[in-house]
Amino acid sequence: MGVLLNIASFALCVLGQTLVAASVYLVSLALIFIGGRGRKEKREKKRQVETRQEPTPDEIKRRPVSAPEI
Amino acid sequence: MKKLIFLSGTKGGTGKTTLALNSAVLLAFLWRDVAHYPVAFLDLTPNVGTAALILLGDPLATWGRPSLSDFAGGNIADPLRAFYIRRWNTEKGAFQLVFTYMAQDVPLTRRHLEYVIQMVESRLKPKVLFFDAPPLSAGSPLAGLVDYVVPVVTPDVSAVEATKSYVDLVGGRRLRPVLNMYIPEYSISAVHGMPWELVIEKTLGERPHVIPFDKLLQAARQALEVEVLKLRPGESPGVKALAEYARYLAATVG
Ligand SMILES: Nc1ncnc2c1ncn2[C@@H]1O[C@H](COP(=O)(O)OP(=O)(O)OP(=O)(O)O)[C@@H](O)[C@H]1O
Ligand SMILES: [Mg+2]
Repeated sequence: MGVLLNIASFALCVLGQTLVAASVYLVSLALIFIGGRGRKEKREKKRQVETRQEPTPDEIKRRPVSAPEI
Repeated sequence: MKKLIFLSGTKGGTGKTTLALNSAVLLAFLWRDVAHYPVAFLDLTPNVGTAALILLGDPLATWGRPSLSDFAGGNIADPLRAFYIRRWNTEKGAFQLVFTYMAQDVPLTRRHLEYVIQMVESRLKPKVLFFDAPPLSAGSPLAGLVDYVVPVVTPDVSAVEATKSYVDLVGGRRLRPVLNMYIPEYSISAVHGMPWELVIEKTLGERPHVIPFDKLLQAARQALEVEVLKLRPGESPGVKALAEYARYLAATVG
């Protein structure tokens, strides 16, 4: 969405609508920035979930012994 | 007392120690009320094997203690002085295992081994004695001394060939083979043009028990911990498969 608005602002600029183009350009920049941050947060959350699923050797060392399931 | 070994002939790193130690611990737990020392474990790896290191719980614990090397070298006359007890407390009760190891690289002759086995049987009276040895070739002092042999292979032509050539080296009844470190995405052997499970069945005469490749087993090994005491079957497919094999052993050997 942000990228589309960005392209649109350049199109408006070429058509001579510089004032409209400038405001559309600013909105597009804001959208691109927010979108990028959201994706980064999502990626970090995913990484946290992964480490929680798989214990590291250090975590295994610190776990208490429990009765084996047999 | 039944004597059992996991064997891959001359091939190393197939998972013999992982299988032996985890099976021993699982049977010790399962039979905790059946005998005082339900399971004995002989780590025959020179210079302290991995199983002994895990059971001792501390790499420095070997200092100043007698080991089977002292018996082999003539420093102690009674091999049982080189045996140790490892005990665990769990929410389902305590259980224990007796073990010994070789602190040095002193050759253990066949006569020594026979005497150790005799002492273990008459004085500790375990239901089963596990041997864990490094890769074996012809002339092994264990020949003729074991009751059961478990062939262990990985999806690797050389592991299958080495195991096939040496599986009868120590004698004993052959139990269900184990195909360890199996990767389901690579189920077909490119060399044989058929599934690995079938390759093993054709080579060793019986469908193998499959233990998947599981990096959590390596994580536990890095921590020097017994896999089945620290990982749940639900999180580790390797532990799940190890427990299944121990159930089979309990039914067959017990
Ligand atoms: N199913 C598995 N998936 C992933 N790693 C495994 C599996 N089984 C064993 N391993 C790992 O492979 C390595 C070798 O295993 P292990 O020491 O049990 O083999 P071994 O046959 O006793 O070796 P050696 O011949 O040196 O005595 C260890 O790091 C172990 O954690
Ligand atoms: Mg080993």
